[in-house]
Amino acid sequence: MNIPDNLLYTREHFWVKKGDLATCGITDYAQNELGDVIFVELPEEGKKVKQGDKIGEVESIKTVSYLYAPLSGEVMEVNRELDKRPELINQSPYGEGWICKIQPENEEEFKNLMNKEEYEVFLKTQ
Amino acid sequence: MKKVVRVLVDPPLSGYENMSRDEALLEMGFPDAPLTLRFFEWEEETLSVGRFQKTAEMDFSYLEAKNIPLVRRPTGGRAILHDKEVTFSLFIPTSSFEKHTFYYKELQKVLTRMMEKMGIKVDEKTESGIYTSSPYCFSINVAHEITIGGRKIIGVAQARGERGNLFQASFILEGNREEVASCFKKKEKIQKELENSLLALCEVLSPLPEKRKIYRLLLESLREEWGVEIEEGEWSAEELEKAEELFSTKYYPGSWYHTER
Repeated sequence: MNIPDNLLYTREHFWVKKGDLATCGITDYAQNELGDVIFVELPEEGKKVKQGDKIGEVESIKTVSYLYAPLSGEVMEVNRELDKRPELINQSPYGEGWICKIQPENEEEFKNLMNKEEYEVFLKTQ
Repeated sequence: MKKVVRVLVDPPLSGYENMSRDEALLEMGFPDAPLTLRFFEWEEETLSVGRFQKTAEMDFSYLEAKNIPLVRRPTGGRAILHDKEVTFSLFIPTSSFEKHTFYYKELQKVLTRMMEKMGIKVDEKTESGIYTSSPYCFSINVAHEITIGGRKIIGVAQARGERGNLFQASFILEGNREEVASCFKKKEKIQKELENSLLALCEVLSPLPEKRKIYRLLLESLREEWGVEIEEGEWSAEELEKAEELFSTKYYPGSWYHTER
């Protein structure tokens, strides 16, 4: 299982890459547990979200799962390619399968996220 | 202490009310509500579609002429015409993120045991059947669904929320393939598919057991397979309030939600 060490992670299995905007998506662990993703309902661009809010949904084989905001802020960009190719989440969860970019409103919230080692420990409890 | 399964038995309701109640289970569940099995019925023949299913393939003129309402489910998968069937939902409170097949497998064990109690042997199914683009649930089967000779008799779909997982299941007692196919624009194609893919209980068991007997066999199987205690329960006031809110904002008749895709 691939867990890059330059990313941060949530308990809902989202990854976050810090930058001017925080890029985020579903972890390799989550995409594997979900199975083949066939549909993604992306967050709305411009929407203000709070950390932990439901921001979208994915459907894998006859299973709908919710997506939760890893940080509070404004959704600045979403990956429209997933409308046509939802399988990118399975094929490249940390690359072409990214989901959205958020303008964080509270830097303190990054402290609520896990680093690679902490996420590895968390996965053992799943 | 053994886990307790709360059993809810609802009277016949509209599809809109039924889906509102199921989504309320998903939204309200953990940690306040226990594992819940809900038996429900449809006050009229109703076509349900999966959470993200497109409705362009439905024959709306037929649905209108026959007064068949269309309702969107909170779970995934494809369309089902609910008529002569046993319908139930199962809410499993969990904060873990299990593989999507985990509870399908567990439910498969329960349903297999229930069928055995009726003297029916089902397929030991661990792989999905042949994929087709058909919009009907019973045209295809996936791993851990209940099939006999490759034909599906119980369809199951799932939604995962923050507080747990909701399963919705449809166990076909009698199936009119022609009427099912008439709900779609490609009627002939779907009817032909269903000849080989759908099985109704009446085709393998006669006479048909009463619904209450099937409920009892399912509960017995759940108790034996999962080692749980069964308790008849009631909806909480909060759950019913949530269901009413979902009905008035999302699931009401004519809502954008049912035909948005």
